[in-house]
Amino acid sequence: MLVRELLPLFEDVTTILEVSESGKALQEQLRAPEEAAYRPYVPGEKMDSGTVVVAFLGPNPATHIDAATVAPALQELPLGGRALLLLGWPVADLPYHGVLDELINAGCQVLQVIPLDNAVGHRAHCAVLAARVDRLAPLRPYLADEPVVVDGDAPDLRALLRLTGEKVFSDLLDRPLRRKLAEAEDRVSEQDEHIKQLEKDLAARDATIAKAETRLARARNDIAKLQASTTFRVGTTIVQGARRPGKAIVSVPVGLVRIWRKRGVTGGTTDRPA
Amino acid sequence: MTLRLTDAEVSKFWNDRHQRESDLKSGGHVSYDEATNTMFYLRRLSMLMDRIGLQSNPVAPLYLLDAGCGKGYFSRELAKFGHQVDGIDRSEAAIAQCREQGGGPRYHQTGLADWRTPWLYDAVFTVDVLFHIMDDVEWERATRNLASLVRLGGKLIIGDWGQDNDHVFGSYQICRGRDTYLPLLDACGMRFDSWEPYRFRRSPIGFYTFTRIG
Repeated sequence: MLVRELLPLFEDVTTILEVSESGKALQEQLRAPEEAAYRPYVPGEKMDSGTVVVAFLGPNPATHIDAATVAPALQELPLGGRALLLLGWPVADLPYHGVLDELINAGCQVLQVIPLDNAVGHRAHCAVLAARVDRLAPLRPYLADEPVVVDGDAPDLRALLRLTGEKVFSDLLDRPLRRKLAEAEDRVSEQDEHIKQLEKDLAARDATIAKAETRLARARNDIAKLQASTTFRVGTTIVQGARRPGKAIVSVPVGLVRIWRKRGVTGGTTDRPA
Repeated sequence: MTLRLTDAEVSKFWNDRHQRESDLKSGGHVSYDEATNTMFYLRRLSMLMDRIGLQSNPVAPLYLLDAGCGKGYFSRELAKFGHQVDGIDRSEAAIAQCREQGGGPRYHQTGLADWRTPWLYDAVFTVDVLFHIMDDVEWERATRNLASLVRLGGKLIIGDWGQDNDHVFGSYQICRGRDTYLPLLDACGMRFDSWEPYRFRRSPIGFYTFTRIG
Protein backbone atom coordinates (compact mmCIF):
# COMPACT_ATOMS: atom_id res chain seq x y z
CA MET A 1 0.00 0.00 0.00
CA LEU A 2 1.15 3.56 -0.65
CA VAL A 3 1.38 6.15 2.12
CA ARG A 4 -1.21 8.30 0.37
CA GLU A 5 -3.67 5.37 0.49
CA LEU A 6 -3.58 5.22 4.30
CA LEU A 7 -5.66 8.20 5.41
CA PRO A 8 -8.62 7.23 3.19
CA LEU A 9 -8.91 4.11 5.36
CA PHE A 10 -10.15 6.40 8.13
CA GLU A 11 -13.52 8.06 7.56
CA ASP A 12 -14.82 11.32 9.09
CA VAL A 13 -11.39 12.74 9.77
CA THR A 14 -11.61 16.35 10.98
CA THR A 15 -8.20 16.92 12.56
CA ILE A 16 -4.78 15.40 11.99
CA LEU A 17 -2.21 15.94 14.73
CA GLU A 18 1.39 15.15 13.92
CA VAL A 19 3.60 14.23 16.89
CA SER A 20 6.82 13.82 14.92
CA GLU A 21 8.35 17.02 13.57
CA SER A 22 8.75 16.22 9.89
CA GLY A 23 7.98 19.72 8.62
CA LYS A 24 5.72 19.26 5.63
CA ALA A 25 7.07 15.81 4.75
CA LEU A 26 4.44 13.61 6.38
CA GLN A 27 1.57 15.94 5.49
CA GLU A 28 2.57 15.85 1.84
CA GLN A 29 3.09 12.10 1.75
CA LEU A 30 -0.26 11.45 3.41
CA ARG A 31 -1.96 13.91 1.04
CA ALA A 32 -4.17 15.01 3.89
CA PRO A 33 -7.66 16.07 2.73
CA GLU A 34 -8.17 19.83 2.60
CA GLU A 35 -11.26 19.65 4.79
CA ALA A 36 -9.20 18.25 7.67
CA ALA A 37 -7.00 20.54 9.77
CA TYR A 38 -3.38 19.36 9.88
CA ARG A 39 -1.20 20.70 12.69
CA PRO A 40 1.52 19.72 15.16
CA TYR A 41 0.40 17.99 18.34
CA VAL A 42 0.42 20.19 21.45
CA PRO A 43 0.13 18.39 24.83
CA GLY A 44 -3.24 18.89 26.47
CA GLU A 45 -4.99 19.72 23.20
CA LYS A 46 -8.70 18.93 23.05
CA MET A 47 -9.33 15.98 20.73
CA ASP A 48 -12.52 14.39 19.44
CA SER A 49 -13.41 11.20 17.61
CA GLY A 50 -12.52 12.85 14.29
CA THR A 51 -8.91 13.20 15.39
CA VAL A 52 -6.12 11.13 13.91
CA VAL A 53 -2.70 11.17 15.59
CA VAL A 54 0.11 10.62 13.09
CA ALA A 55 3.87 10.20 13.51
CA PHE A 56 7.05 8.74 12.10
CA LEU A 57 8.48 6.29 14.66
CA GLY A 58 11.75 4.50 14.23
CA PRO A 59 15.44 4.06 14.91
CA ASN A 60 16.83 7.30 13.46
CA PRO A 61 16.53 10.23 15.90
CA ALA A 62 17.02 12.69 13.03
CA THR A 63 13.81 11.61 11.30
CA HIS A 64 11.90 9.50 13.82
CA ILE A 65 10.54 9.76 17.33
CA ASP A 66 10.39 6.88 19.82
CA ALA A 67 7.31 5.18 21.22
CA ALA A 68 7.50 7.02 24.55
CA THR A 69 7.26 10.37 22.72
CA VAL A 70 4.00 9.48 20.98
CA ALA A 71 2.49 8.02 24.18
CA PRO A 72 1.01 11.27 25.62
CA ALA A 73 -0.89 11.95 22.38
CA LEU A 74 -2.24 8.39 22.29
CA GLN A 75 -3.36 8.66 25.90
CA GLU A 76 -5.29 11.85 25.14
CA LEU A 77 -7.21 10.24 22.27
CA PRO A 78 -10.94 10.07 23.06
CA LEU A 79 -13.04 6.99 22.28
CA GLY A 80 -13.18 6.57 18.52
CA GLY A 81 -10.03 8.66 18.05
CA ARG A 82 -7.49 7.04 15.76
CA ALA A 83 -3.77 6.76 15.27
CA LEU A 84 -1.69 6.22 12.16
CA LEU A 85 1.92 5.44 13.03
CA LEU A 86 4.52 5.01 10.30
CA LEU A 87 7.33 2.75 11.49
CA GLY A 88 10.88 3.14 10.23
CA TRP A 89 12.17 -0.34 10.98
CA PRO A 90 12.32 -2.96 8.22
CA VAL A 91 9.33 -5.27 8.54
CA ALA A 92 11.48 -8.39 8.93
CA ASP A 93 13.18 -6.95 12.03
CA LEU A 94 10.31 -4.90 13.43
CA PRO A 95 10.80 -4.34 17.20
CA TYR A 96 7.11 -3.71 17.82
CA HIS A 97 7.14 -4.32 21.57
CA GLY A 98 7.57 -0.66 22.58
CA VAL A 99 4.90 0.65 20.21
CA LEU A 100 2.45 -2.09 21.19
CA ASP A 101 3.01 -1.31 24.86
CA GLU A 102 2.18 2.37 24.42
CA LEU A 103 -0.90 1.61 22.29
CA ILE A 104 -2.28 -0.84 24.83
CA ASN A 105 -1.51 1.46 27.76
CA ALA A 106 -3.51 4.14 25.94
CA GLY A 107 -6.48 1.79 25.42
CA CYS A 108 -5.92 1.54 21.68
CA GLN A 109 -6.64 -1.51 19.56
CA VAL A 110 -4.21 -2.31 16.77
CA LEU A 111 -6.54 -2.69 13.81
CA GLN A 112 -4.06 -3.41 11.07
CA VAL A 113 -0.34 -3.26 10.33
CA ILE A 114 0.28 -2.57 6.65
CA PRO A 115 3.58 -2.97 4.78
CA LEU A 116 4.30 0.03 2.56
CA ASP A 117 5.14 -0.28 -1.13
CA ASN A 118 7.86 2.34 -0.98
CA ALA A 119 10.08 2.73 2.04
CA VAL A 120 9.75 6.56 1.86
CA GLY A 121 13.50 7.12 1.97
CA HIS A 122 13.75 4.57 4.81
CA ARG A 123 11.47 6.72 6.93
CA ALA A 124 8.65 4.19 6.97
CA HIS A 125 8.43 0.51 6.11
CA CYS A 126 4.97 -0.19 7.51
CA ALA A 127 2.00 1.61 9.03
CA VAL A 128 0.03 0.84 12.18
CA LEU A 129 -3.68 1.66 12.17
CA ALA A 130 -5.09 1.89 15.68
CA ALA A 131 -8.13 3.29 17.44
CA ARG A 132 -9.06 4.15 21.02
CA VAL A 133 -11.76 1.66 22.06
CA ASP A 134 -13.74 0.53 25.09
CA ARG A 135 -14.65 -2.78 23.48
CA LEU A 136 -13.10 -4.78 20.68
CA ALA A 137 -13.51 -3.27 17.22
CA PRO A 138 -14.26 -5.59 14.28
CA LEU A 139 -11.24 -7.62 13.18
CA ARG A 140 -9.68 -6.72 9.86
CA PRO A 141 -7.96 -9.14 7.52
CA TYR A 142 -4.37 -8.61 6.43
CA LEU A 143 -4.02 -6.10 3.56
CA ALA A 144 -7.70 -5.12 3.73
CA ASP A 145 -8.20 -1.77 2.01
CA GLU A 146 -11.79 -0.94 2.79
CA PRO A 147 -12.41 1.85 5.33
CA VAL A 148 -11.87 1.06 9.02
CA VAL A 149 -14.96 0.44 11.13
CA VAL A 150 -14.37 1.02 14.82
CA ASP A 151 -17.91 0.96 16.18
CA GLY A 152 -19.18 -2.08 14.27
CA ASP A 153 -20.08 -5.42 15.79
CA ALA A 154 -17.44 -6.66 18.21
CA PRO A 155 -16.00 -10.09 17.38
CA ASP A 156 -18.30 -12.79 18.79
CA LEU A 157 -17.19 -15.69 20.97
CA ARG A 158 -16.55 -17.86 17.93
CA ALA A 159 -14.21 -15.21 16.48
CA LEU A 160 -12.44 -14.80 19.82
CA LEU A 161 -12.01 -18.57 20.10
CA ARG A 162 -10.50 -18.56 16.62
CA LEU A 163 -8.26 -15.63 17.55
CA THR A 164 -6.95 -17.26 20.73
CA GLY A 165 -6.61 -20.60 18.96
CA GLU A 166 -4.59 -19.07 16.15
CA LYS A 167 -2.44 -17.32 18.77
CA VAL A 168 -1.79 -20.53 20.68
CA PHE A 169 -0.88 -22.51 17.56
CA SER A 170 1.28 -19.75 16.10
CA ASP A 171 2.98 -19.49 19.50
CA LEU A 172 3.98 -23.15 19.22
CA LEU A 173 4.99 -22.97 15.56
CA ASP A 174 6.92 -19.72 16.01
CA ARG A 175 9.35 -21.37 18.40
CA PRO A 176 11.12 -23.81 16.07
CA LEU A 177 11.06 -21.19 13.30
CA ARG A 178 12.60 -18.62 15.60
CA ARG A 179 15.25 -21.12 16.61
CA LYS A 180 16.01 -22.05 12.99
CA LEU A 181 16.30 -18.38 12.09
CA ALA A 182 18.65 -17.72 15.01
CA GLU A 183 20.78 -20.72 14.08
CA ALA A 184 20.87 -19.61 10.45
CA GLU A 185 21.96 -16.16 11.61
CA ASP A 186 24.68 -17.78 13.74
CA ARG A 187 25.90 -19.72 10.70
CA VAL A 188 25.91 -16.60 8.54
CA SER A 189 27.82 -14.81 11.28
CA GLU A 190 30.35 -17.67 11.47
CA GLN A 191 30.71 -17.66 7.69
CA ASP A 192 31.25 -13.90 7.75
CA GLU A 193 34.00 -14.37 10.33
CA HIS A 194 35.50 -17.15 8.23
CA ILE A 195 35.40 -14.97 5.11
CA LYS A 196 37.01 -12.09 7.04
CA GLN A 197 39.78 -14.47 8.19
CA LEU A 198 40.28 -15.76 4.64
CA GLU A 199 40.46 -12.19 3.36
CA LYS A 200 43.08 -11.42 6.03
CA ASP A 201 45.08 -14.52 5.04
CA LEU A 202 44.78 -13.55 1.39
CA ALA A 203 45.95 -10.00 2.12
CA ALA A 204 48.91 -11.43 4.10
CA ARG A 205 49.81 -13.70 1.17
CA ASP A 206 49.47 -10.81 -1.27
CA ALA A 207 51.86 -8.81 0.92
CA THR A 208 54.32 -11.73 1.00
CA ILE A 209 54.14 -12.09 -2.79
CA ALA A 210 54.67 -8.35 -3.23
CA LYS A 211 57.74 -8.50 -0.96
CA ALA A 212 59.10 -11.54 -2.84
CA GLU A 213 58.55 -9.76 -6.15
CA THR A 214 60.43 -6.74 -4.88
CA ARG A 215 63.31 -8.96 -3.72
CA LEU A 216 63.28 -10.75 -7.08
CA ALA A 217 63.37 -7.48 -9.02
CA ARG A 218 66.23 -6.27 -6.84
CA ALA A 219 68.13 -9.54 -7.40
CA ARG A 220 67.55 -9.32 -11.18
CA ASN A 221 68.83 -5.77 -11.14
CA ASP A 222 71.91 -6.86 -9.21
CA ILE A 223 72.51 -9.68 -11.70
CA ALA A 224 72.14 -7.27 -14.63
CA LYS A 225 74.63 -4.89 -13.02
CA LEU A 226 77.01 -7.75 -12.33
CA GLN A 227 76.76 -9.08 -15.87
CA ALA A 228 77.41 -5.60 -17.24
CA SER A 229 80.51 -5.14 -15.12
CA THR A 230 83.99 -5.21 -16.73
CA THR A 231 85.16 -7.80 -14.24
CA PHE A 232 82.37 -10.19 -15.23
CA ARG A 233 82.90 -9.68 -18.97
CA VAL A 234 86.69 -10.06 -18.72
CA GLY A 235 86.13 -13.18 -16.61
CA THR A 236 83.63 -14.57 -19.14
CA THR A 237 86.04 -13.93 -22.04
CA ILE A 238 88.88 -15.69 -20.26
CA VAL A 239 86.67 -18.61 -19.23
CA GLN A 240 85.45 -19.04 -22.82
CA GLY A 241 89.08 -18.93 -23.93
CA ALA A 242 89.99 -21.60 -21.39
CA ARG A 243 87.19 -23.84 -22.65
CA ARG A 244 88.37 -23.56 -26.27
CA PRO A 245 92.09 -23.12 -26.06
CA GLY A 246 92.44 -23.49 -29.87
CA LYS A 247 90.46 -20.33 -30.53
CA ALA A 248 91.60 -18.52 -27.39
CA ILE A 249 94.73 -17.15 -28.98
CA VAL A 250 92.46 -14.94 -31.16
CA SER A 251 89.18 -14.72 -29.27
CA VAL A 252 90.60 -13.59 -25.89
CA PRO A 253 92.58 -10.60 -27.19
CA VAL A 254 89.67 -9.62 -29.52
CA GLY A 255 87.20 -9.92 -26.68
CA LEU A 256 89.39 -7.84 -24.35
CA VAL A 257 89.74 -5.14 -27.01
CA ARG A 258 85.94 -5.05 -27.48
CA ILE A 259 85.48 -4.67 -23.75
CA TRP A 260 88.05 -1.86 -23.73
CA ARG A 261 86.29 -0.11 -26.66
CA LYS A 262 82.87 -0.35 -25.12
CA ARG A 263 83.97 0.80 -21.70
CA GLY A 264 81.53 3.25 -20.29
CA VAL A 265 78.94 2.48 -23.03
CA THR A 266 77.24 -0.53 -21.47
CA GLY A 267 76.20 1.28 -18.30
CA GLY A 268 77.90 -1.39 -16.26
CA THR A 269 80.48 -0.75 -13.66
CA THR A 270 84.00 -0.23 -14.91
CA ASP A 271 85.39 -1.59 -11.69
CA ARG A 272 87.72 1.39 -11.58
CA PRO A 273 88.88 2.49 -8.20
CA ALA A 274 87.41 5.80 -7.26
CA MET B 1 26.38 12.71 51.59
CA THR B 2 27.81 9.97 49.34
CA LEU B 3 28.75 11.07 45.85
CA ARG B 4 26.68 9.20 43.24
CA LEU B 5 28.37 7.95 40.10
CA THR B 6 26.86 9.04 36.80
CA ASP B 7 25.57 6.31 34.46
CA ALA B 8 28.64 6.75 32.25
CA GLU B 9 30.87 6.30 35.31
CA VAL B 10 28.89 3.24 36.38
CA SER B 11 29.27 1.74 32.88
CA LYS B 12 33.01 2.32 33.01
CA PHE B 13 33.18 0.94 36.54
CA TRP B 14 31.51 -2.32 35.44
CA ASN B 15 33.54 -2.64 32.27
CA ASP B 16 36.75 -2.28 34.29
CA ARG B 17 35.47 -4.67 36.95
CA HIS B 18 34.60 -7.32 34.35
CA GLN B 19 38.15 -7.07 33.03
CA ARG B 20 39.74 -7.12 36.47
CA GLU B 21 37.78 -9.62 38.55
CA SER B 22 37.18 -13.36 38.23
CA ASP B 23 34.10 -14.81 36.51
CA LEU B 24 31.81 -14.90 39.52
CA LYS B 25 33.22 -12.09 41.58
CA SER B 26 33.01 -9.54 38.79
CA GLY B 27 29.23 -9.83 38.56
CA GLY B 28 28.58 -11.29 42.00
CA HIS B 29 29.21 -9.87 45.44
CA VAL B 30 32.64 -8.29 45.47
CA SER B 31 33.08 -8.94 49.21
CA TYR B 32 32.48 -12.68 48.87
CA ASP B 33 35.23 -15.07 47.90
CA GLU B 34 34.90 -17.37 44.87
CA ALA B 35 33.35 -20.25 46.85
CA THR B 36 30.75 -18.03 48.50
CA ASN B 37 29.92 -16.41 45.17
CA THR B 38 29.46 -19.91 43.72
CA MET B 39 26.81 -20.59 46.38
CA PHE B 40 25.27 -17.17 45.83
CA TYR B 41 24.95 -17.78 42.07
CA LEU B 42 23.50 -21.26 42.61
CA ARG B 43 20.91 -19.92 45.06
CA ARG B 44 19.70 -17.33 42.57
CA LEU B 45 19.80 -19.81 39.67
CA SER B 46 17.61 -22.16 41.66
CA MET B 47 15.15 -19.33 42.36
CA LEU B 48 15.09 -18.45 38.66
CA MET B 49 14.30 -22.08 37.84
CA ASP B 50 11.35 -21.96 40.26
CA ARG B 51 9.97 -18.98 38.39
CA ILE B 52 10.73 -20.02 34.81
CA GLY B 53 9.54 -23.55 35.40
CA LEU B 54 11.00 -27.01 34.98
CA GLN B 55 9.68 -27.80 31.50
CA SER B 56 11.91 -27.88 28.46
CA ASN B 57 11.38 -28.93 24.88
CA PRO B 58 14.09 -28.88 22.22
CA VAL B 59 11.64 -28.53 19.33
CA ALA B 60 9.67 -25.63 20.79
CA PRO B 61 11.88 -24.16 23.51
CA LEU B 62 11.32 -21.31 25.94
CA TYR B 63 12.84 -17.96 25.03
CA LEU B 64 14.56 -16.00 27.79
CA LEU B 65 16.26 -12.64 28.07
CA ASP B 66 19.08 -12.18 30.59
CA ALA B 67 19.15 -8.40 30.92
CA GLY B 68 22.51 -7.25 32.28
CA CYS B 69 24.07 -10.67 31.82
CA GLY B 70 27.60 -9.69 32.87
CA LYS B 71 29.88 -12.59 32.03
CA GLY B 72 26.89 -14.77 31.26
CA TYR B 73 26.65 -17.22 34.17
CA PHE B 74 22.83 -17.34 34.26
CA SER B 75 22.57 -17.29 30.45
CA ARG B 76 24.86 -20.30 30.09
CA GLU B 77 23.27 -22.28 32.93
CA LEU B 78 19.74 -21.71 31.61
CA ALA B 79 20.84 -22.57 28.07
CA LYS B 80 22.00 -25.92 29.46
CA PHE B 81 18.36 -26.64 30.31
CA GLY B 82 17.44 -26.35 26.63
CA HIS B 83 16.15 -22.78 26.73
CA GLN B 84 17.05 -20.25 24.06
CA VAL B 85 18.69 -17.37 25.86
CA ASP B 86 19.64 -13.89 24.72
CA GLY B 87 22.09 -12.09 26.99
CA ILE B 88 22.48 -8.32 26.84
CA ASP B 89 24.95 -6.11 28.66
CA ARG B 90 26.43 -2.68 28.14
CA SER B 91 29.96 -3.84 29.01
CA GLU B 92 32.07 -4.60 25.95
CA ALA B 93 34.54 -6.59 28.08
CA ALA B 94 31.78 -8.76 29.59
CA ILE B 95 30.15 -9.50 26.23
CA ALA B 96 33.53 -10.36 24.70
CA GLN B 97 34.12 -12.89 27.50
CA CYS B 98 30.60 -14.30 27.14
CA ARG B 99 31.16 -14.90 23.43
CA GLU B 100 34.53 -16.47 24.13
CA GLN B 101 32.92 -18.93 26.55
CA GLY B 102 30.04 -19.73 24.16
CA GLY B 103 27.70 -22.35 25.57
CA GLY B 104 24.57 -21.60 23.53
CA PRO B 105 23.27 -18.13 24.43
CA ARG B 106 23.43 -15.26 21.97
CA TYR B 107 24.92 -12.07 23.29
CA HIS B 108 24.40 -8.45 22.34
CA GLN B 109 26.18 -5.38 23.65
CA THR B 110 23.42 -2.90 24.51
CA GLY B 111 21.86 -1.07 27.42
CA LEU B 112 18.69 -2.40 29.05
CA ALA B 113 16.60 0.50 27.77
CA ASP B 114 17.93 0.16 24.24
CA TRP B 115 17.42 -3.52 23.35
CA ARG B 116 15.13 -3.84 20.33
CA THR B 117 14.05 -7.13 18.81
CA PRO B 118 11.17 -8.40 16.70
CA TRP B 119 10.66 -11.23 19.23
CA LEU B 120 9.02 -11.33 22.65
CA TYR B 121 10.23 -13.53 25.51
CA ASP B 122 8.62 -16.07 27.81
CA ALA B 123 10.65 -14.66 30.65
CA VAL B 124 12.81 -11.59 31.04
CA PHE B 125 15.05 -11.55 34.09
CA THR B 126 17.48 -9.02 35.41
CA VAL B 127 19.54 -10.17 38.36
CA ASP B 128 20.87 -7.39 40.58
CA VAL B 129 21.32 -4.97 37.71
CA LEU B 130 18.54 -2.36 37.86
CA PHE B 131 19.74 -1.02 41.20
CA HIS B 132 23.01 -0.07 39.53
CA ILE B 133 21.23 2.35 37.20
CA MET B 134 21.70 5.58 39.09
CA ASP B 135 19.58 7.85 36.89
CA ASP B 136 15.87 7.50 37.69
CA VAL B 137 14.73 8.37 34.16
CA GLU B 138 17.08 5.79 32.66
CA TRP B 139 15.98 3.24 35.27
CA GLU B 140 12.32 3.78 34.28
CA ARG B 141 13.16 3.54 30.56
CA ALA B 142 14.99 0.29 31.21
CA THR B 143 12.22 -1.19 33.37
CA ARG B 144 9.51 -0.26 30.87
CA ASN B 145 11.52 -1.63 27.97
CA LEU B 146 12.12 -4.95 29.73
CA ALA B 147 8.42 -5.21 30.55
CA SER B 148 7.47 -4.52 26.93
CA LEU B 149 9.55 -7.52 25.86
CA VAL B 150 7.47 -9.99 27.91
CA ARG B 151 4.81 -11.86 25.98
CA LEU B 152 1.24 -12.33 27.25
CA GLY B 153 1.44 -14.78 30.14
CA GLY B 154 5.20 -14.39 30.38
CA LYS B 155 7.24 -13.41 33.45
CA LEU B 156 9.34 -10.43 34.37
CA ILE B 157 11.79 -11.24 37.16
CA ILE B 158 13.71 -8.42 38.82
CA GLY B 159 16.34 -8.62 41.53
CA ASP B 160 15.96 -5.69 43.95
CA TRP B 161 14.94 -5.10 47.53
CA GLY B 162 11.37 -5.67 48.69
CA GLN B 163 10.79 -2.77 51.03
CA ASP B 164 8.98 0.46 50.31
CA ASN B 165 10.94 3.61 49.49
CA ASP B 166 14.12 3.90 47.51
CA HIS B 167 17.43 3.50 49.30
CA VAL B 168 20.92 4.50 48.23
CA PHE B 169 23.78 2.15 49.06
CA GLY B 170 27.24 3.64 48.43
CA SER B 171 27.99 5.51 45.26
CA TYR B 172 26.72 3.04 42.66
CA GLN B 173 23.58 1.39 43.98
CA ILE B 174 20.02 2.67 44.38
CA CYS B 175 17.45 0.09 45.46
CA ARG B 176 14.02 1.13 44.26
CA GLY B 177 11.20 0.36 46.63
CA ARG B 178 8.21 -1.88 46.17
CA ASP B 179 6.08 1.28 46.03
CA THR B 180 8.09 2.35 42.97
CA TYR B 181 8.03 -0.96 41.09
CA LEU B 182 4.42 -2.02 41.59
CA PRO B 183 2.59 1.04 40.22
CA LEU B 184 4.96 1.38 37.29
CA LEU B 185 4.65 -2.23 36.21
CA ASP B 186 0.92 -2.35 36.90
CA ALA B 187 0.60 0.47 34.36
CA CYS B 188 2.61 -1.67 31.94
CA GLY B 189 0.08 -4.52 32.17
CA MET B 190 2.12 -6.62 34.59
CA ARG B 191 0.53 -8.38 37.56
CA PHE B 192 2.64 -8.48 40.74
CA ASP B 193 2.97 -12.12 41.85
CA SER B 194 5.51 -12.08 44.63
CA TRP B 195 8.73 -10.80 46.12
CA GLU B 196 10.95 -13.43 47.69
CA PRO B 197 14.25 -12.66 49.42
CA TYR B 198 17.39 -14.50 48.40
CA ARG B 199 17.87 -15.53 52.03
CA PHE B 200 21.57 -15.47 51.43
CA ARG B 201 23.60 -14.26 54.38
CA ARG B 202 22.19 -10.84 55.19
CA SER B 203 21.36 -9.77 51.66
CA PRO B 204 18.25 -7.52 51.63
CA ILE B 205 17.71 -8.30 47.95
CA GLY B 206 15.25 -10.74 46.42
CA PHE B 207 13.26 -11.46 43.29
CA TYR B 208 10.14 -9.61 42.22
CA THR B 209 8.04 -11.71 39.88
CA PHE B 210 5.46 -10.17 37.57
CA THR B 211 3.23 -11.81 34.95
CA ARG B 212 1.99 -10.05 31.84
CA ILE B 213 -1.79 -10.06 31.87
CA GLY B 214 -2.54 -7.13 29.58
